[in-house]
Amino acid sequence: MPRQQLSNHVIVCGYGRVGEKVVETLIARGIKFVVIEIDPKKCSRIRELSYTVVEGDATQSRNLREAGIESASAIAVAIDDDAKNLFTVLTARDLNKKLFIAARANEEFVREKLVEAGADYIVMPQRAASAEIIKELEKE
Amino acid sequence: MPVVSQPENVTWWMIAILVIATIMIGIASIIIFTGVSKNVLDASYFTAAALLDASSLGSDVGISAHVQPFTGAFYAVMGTAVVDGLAKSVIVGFVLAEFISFITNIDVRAKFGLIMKKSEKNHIIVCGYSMLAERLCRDLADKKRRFVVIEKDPERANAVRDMGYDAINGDPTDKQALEEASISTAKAVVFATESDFINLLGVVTARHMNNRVKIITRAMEGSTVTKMHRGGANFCIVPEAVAGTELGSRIAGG
Repeated sequence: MPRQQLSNHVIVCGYGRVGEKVVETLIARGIKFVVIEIDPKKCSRIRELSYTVVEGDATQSRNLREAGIESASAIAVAIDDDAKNLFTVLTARDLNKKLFIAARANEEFVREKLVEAGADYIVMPQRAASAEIIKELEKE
Repeated sequence: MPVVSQPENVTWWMIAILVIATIMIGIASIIIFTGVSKNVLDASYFTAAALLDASSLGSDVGISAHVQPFTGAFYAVMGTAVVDGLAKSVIVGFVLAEFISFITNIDVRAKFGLIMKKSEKNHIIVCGYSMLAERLCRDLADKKRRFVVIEKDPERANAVRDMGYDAINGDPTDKQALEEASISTAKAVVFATESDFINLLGVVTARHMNNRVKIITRAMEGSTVTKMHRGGANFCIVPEAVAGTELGSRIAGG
């Protein structure tokens, strides 16, 4: 498998609405990536787009290893479940101390927990959207 | 049953306490301060007189003709005077108690809120108190922007009021609720529910009601964005897409 040879790549956990946008942004910047996705239907869609995908649970170190976490430069943890994100961040930090970990959080209280677990950057969809709406309201 | 009779019990208790307190204070103050009499019975006479008929208690004993002048022989008419006095006290007490209960029963906040809403102008209407709306309301409050929330669920609407925000309990896709929120003078309407269908319906209704208002809506799926614009939205946002772009840029940049 070619992904074993990947290095300095980005791992994207979860190909939902957030993950999809992360991938889009990475492609636009010409950055190599591997997606980890649990849903077989989504996996076949990703394969159709000819992206590299690991089918399985991102909270499992086995799947993170298969995605080449030891040699990756960053990971985007974008699962639609705060608990799973927290678990993935913990596992990822365990496997690679130098990895840049960016994660999504839905609830405010999970934010600190993610940081404690080893995340370097947190994004909250509601907060980000609210900021955009305020910006739009302040126009004119 | 006890729930129904409770307010009346309160009223009667108030009357009793008011009457007794007034008479006691009167008697006590006459004994202590005026020095006219150190006798409790005499003091009650002055109290009754002062409460009911006195026009100038201070000068001599200026009591109207209704009560006999203080000659010492007043005890003969005391029975009538006491009954007369009590009757008047009860009436005064009853009126007072009713007035107090009327005052306490006015929902000051609701009345005030209604006045506020009527005069609302250039405000922002937030439809649906979702997680996004929760965050948005906090940000708007921090920026001291005026806004009103329309929330369908009565309990959630109350929770919004408890946060200290203005809230209308109603369907944000319904004309009536939007009218109540003064959409005609609003600066913007934000649809923040977690249903694309409700948001789109709201966008169309709002656009129909006010052609100039800025309509911002959230979309759950990227595919609905164009529909929202066609429905009349000025700005459509998918929070997850914003978050994804932010995550991607952050990783790509650093």
